[in-house]
Amino acid sequence: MSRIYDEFYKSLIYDDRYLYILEGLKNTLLIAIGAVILGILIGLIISLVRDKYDRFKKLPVLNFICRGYVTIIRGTPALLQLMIIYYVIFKSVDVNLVLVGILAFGINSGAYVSEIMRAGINSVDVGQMEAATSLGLSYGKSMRYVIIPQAIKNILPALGNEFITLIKETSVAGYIGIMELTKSSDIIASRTYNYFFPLIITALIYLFITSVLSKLLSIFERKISNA
Amino acid sequence: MLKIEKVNKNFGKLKILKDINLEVKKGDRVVIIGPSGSGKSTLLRCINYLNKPDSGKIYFNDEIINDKNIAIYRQKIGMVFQSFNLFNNLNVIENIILAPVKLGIYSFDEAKKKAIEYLKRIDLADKVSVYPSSLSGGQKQRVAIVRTLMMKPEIILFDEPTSALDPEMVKEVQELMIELANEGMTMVIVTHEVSFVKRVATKIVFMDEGKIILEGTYDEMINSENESVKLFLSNIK
Repeated sequence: MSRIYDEFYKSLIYDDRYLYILEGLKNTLLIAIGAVILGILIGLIISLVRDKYDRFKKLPVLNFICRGYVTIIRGTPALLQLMIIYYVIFKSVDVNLVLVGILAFGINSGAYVSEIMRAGINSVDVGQMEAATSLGLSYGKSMRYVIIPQAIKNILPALGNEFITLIKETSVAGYIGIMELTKSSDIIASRTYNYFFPLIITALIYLFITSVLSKLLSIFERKISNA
Repeated sequence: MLKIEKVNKNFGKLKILKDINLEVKKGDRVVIIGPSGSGKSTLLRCINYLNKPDSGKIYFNDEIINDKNIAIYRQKIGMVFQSFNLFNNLNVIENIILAPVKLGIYSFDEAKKKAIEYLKRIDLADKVSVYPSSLSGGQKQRVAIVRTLMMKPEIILFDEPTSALDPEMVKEVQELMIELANEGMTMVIVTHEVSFVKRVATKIVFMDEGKIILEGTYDEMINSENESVKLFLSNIK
């Protein structure tokens, strides 16, 4: 028993090692939140370009670029994208690593978010857009006042899931030296030569965050389906 | 007011409209009739570019409608749909005033006042803040007609406005349309209701297989010797 306590003490308390975990947690959340915001911006632009093309065959060049982007991002591993952005694009630039993480995961997430938004927009009956445009409203106004408010019910829950996925996915960011949650447990383990406690503790932290978010999401989903 | 010249429309290899010519004058109430799949609704939807014609020209008040100016003309060309298409996220009055306010036809207060006037006229003043999901089909369609009227249209296109309604609600929508007709509104109506056609039409257009087979009065249609017209009328009765 005292051996277990001893290991626990060495992993977290001694030399204030829990601070690694806190720092890692902070960066994990920063990257996930930043990435999901960037992802929403990118996803919104892509989904609107593609929707406009699907409905009216407008913006063919932009549509082609957006489709290519989605295909490439979804067809290659996130870690590889992160490495390309860090080792190739920011090769000789002194740049904040967390920012690189936000950028890489945001660009990655944007492709998935665009598909989430497209599905949400497509779930709205086509007659809604026809009625709006037949009154003389522009595509933008029709989207803003009629289509998006209806699509959002389907989009928000899926965006919540995307955020939860992102929190777990950022665990590969340690590969380029970002001090996120998984990396922090690795650092502690390399000091204590005991992997058990740091890894289990971080696993429990991930589990706790994702469980709480899932729970909040299902409460939220119930609320909007009643509204 | 409206002139359709040699309009063709294909969906893939299927030719839906073949060289359609049609003229609608101010005050006309043109009813388009014919078997299912004859291209009636497509013709109507081509007029305001919900379906873009593959070739041919459409003139509105002697101006050619094209991709660029269509948004302006749509304000003047009202459209009423078979499936009503009220905006599900907005209540009745918001549905009615959205477009006129956003397009600067009325100020918010004017639009509200006008909308309530219209709702009183169709006996739905008590439904002002109700959402479309709790209206009956007939109520939805009458609200949709009012929504179109708010744009002060010069012509209204009706795409089978009573086909999706329960029989007891057909009348309330038809009565409203006849009121509009009596006030001199120019209309193009696609419908299957032959008895209604008789009451409202100043001109009847019979379509089959993407072509206009007959253009004339109600009596001319009834007495027509054309086989497809006769077949259609006998199936309906």
